[in-house]
Amino acid sequence: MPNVPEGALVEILSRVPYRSLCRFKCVSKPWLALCSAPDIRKRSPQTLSGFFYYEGQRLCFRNLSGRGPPLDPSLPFLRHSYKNVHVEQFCDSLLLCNCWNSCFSSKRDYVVCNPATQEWIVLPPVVFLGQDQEVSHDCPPSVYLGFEAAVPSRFVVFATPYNRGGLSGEMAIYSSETGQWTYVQTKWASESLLELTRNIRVFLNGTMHLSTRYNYNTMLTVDAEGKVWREIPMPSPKKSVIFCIGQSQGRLYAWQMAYRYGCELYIWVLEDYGTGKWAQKHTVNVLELFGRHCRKDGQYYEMFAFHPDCNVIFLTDEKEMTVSYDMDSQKVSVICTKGMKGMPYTPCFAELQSASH
Amino acid sequence: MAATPADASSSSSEAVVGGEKSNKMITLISSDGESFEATEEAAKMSVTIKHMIEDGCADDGIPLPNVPAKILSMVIEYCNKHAADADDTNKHVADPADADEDDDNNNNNASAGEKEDLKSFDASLVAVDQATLFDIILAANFLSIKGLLDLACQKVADDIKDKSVEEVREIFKIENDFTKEEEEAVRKENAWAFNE
Repeated sequence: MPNVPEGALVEILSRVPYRSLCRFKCVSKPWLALCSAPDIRKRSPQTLSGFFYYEGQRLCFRNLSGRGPPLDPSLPFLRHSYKNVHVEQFCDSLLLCNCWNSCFSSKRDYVVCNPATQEWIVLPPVVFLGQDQEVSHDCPPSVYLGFEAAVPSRFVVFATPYNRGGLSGEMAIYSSETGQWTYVQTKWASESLLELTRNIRVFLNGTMHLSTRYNYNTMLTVDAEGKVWREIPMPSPKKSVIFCIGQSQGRLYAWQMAYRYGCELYIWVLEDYGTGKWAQKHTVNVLELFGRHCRKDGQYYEMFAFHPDCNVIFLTDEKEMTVSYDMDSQKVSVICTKGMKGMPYTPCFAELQSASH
Repeated sequence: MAATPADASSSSSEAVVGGEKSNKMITLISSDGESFEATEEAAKMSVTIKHMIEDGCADDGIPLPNVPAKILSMVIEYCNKHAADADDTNKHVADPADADEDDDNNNNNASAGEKEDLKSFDASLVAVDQATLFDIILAANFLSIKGLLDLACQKVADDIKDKSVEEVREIFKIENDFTKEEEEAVRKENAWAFNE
């Protein structure tokens, strides 16, 4: 049996999923070195490893069992530089944090960090037109972090000025490639209010998608250059319920919970991105999934995430049960016996450009 | 690639777009002395052979002492199939300046059916036993055929990804040079990666 040349071994190991790569560290000392090599590690395919979620004010992390390495959600690598770290946004593999030292100083930094590599970048201050100095922390801008594993070399941050959630017509876009903010005028036709909760934004194919409050049935999109602005109507006219959006396997999904007869979940996929045509993909009987016959008063369910790589969704009853549901095999797995609204996290070992430490 | 005008007097019956194409046959000689013929175009998918042709060393046939006949015939099959596909792509390119430089596996203009055809060809080429797969990797590495190297390495990666540490040592004939304590420490650090 000939020895596989190292060049070929590097090519083989770079294609082995990250979990297997870590296991193979035990094969031999040379393999330990190879499997730990940054160039191999950053190419190794990654998958969803767990969820960030809040328990009160405290940020926690729950591993999907055996799917990913443990992670310290207190982000100790940032704590060397900042006394206070508050995570504002989660996107794929990166976190956007508000960081400061003294409560008496109004200086707060926006920091984008990668918990897997422990790298972080401090964003330059964003200064909107008509504001003399950088935004004070009493009136922080609304910020949205955009990152996708398919293009790991860059991230984008969109910011709109504090305006009680309305759009004043101005938007700042930061790109890690330029290290700078660009200021543009929003070009959406309707003045819409942005829904600021978790699940209501998706960054896909270099474009930020935002679900809005405007009649609960429009999705605003803007690309990373601030050139293409679109409004895509949401799939169905159930106007009283907000749509959640997410992405899986390169496609955009929207979902909505209905409580007419028990509890039903409707999932649509954006079939034609160009025309904005949605197709109903799945209907899930949520009560049945949780093994329940009826819905008690005050009991609500939420689908909080779609697995980025496969047809698996995550639901919680917000009180005592959180599950994953494989829509292909129809298998239900319990994730934990408590309520959890998690933000999905997939590790990424690509370098953040111009990391500041 | 430099654009050249279509050569109307070329013996080839196909239109030439963006670069020269020759129908010259190259002889490749395996380690066990068997001769194989391949079009120059297919042979040039190997960067190693391409350089030899350009240096004028190919006229009497190219000996490949590292590649046995069984493997060489598979390699040539791959090159023939993918060179033809790359050629189809080049025919559809209106402006040579638009063609990609790195053309090993450029399927951009191939129809969906052609893409599927190529995919299933690739899959059956590497659906072989481990020893043959490693031989293909060695040959693709030596001959510098990127597409084939990627294909074969991906197959090995897919084959080993669910294997245990012990099974991987078996496959690659690797000796465990950890002490018991050292191995235990690495295992502990990566406990999440092992099946419980």
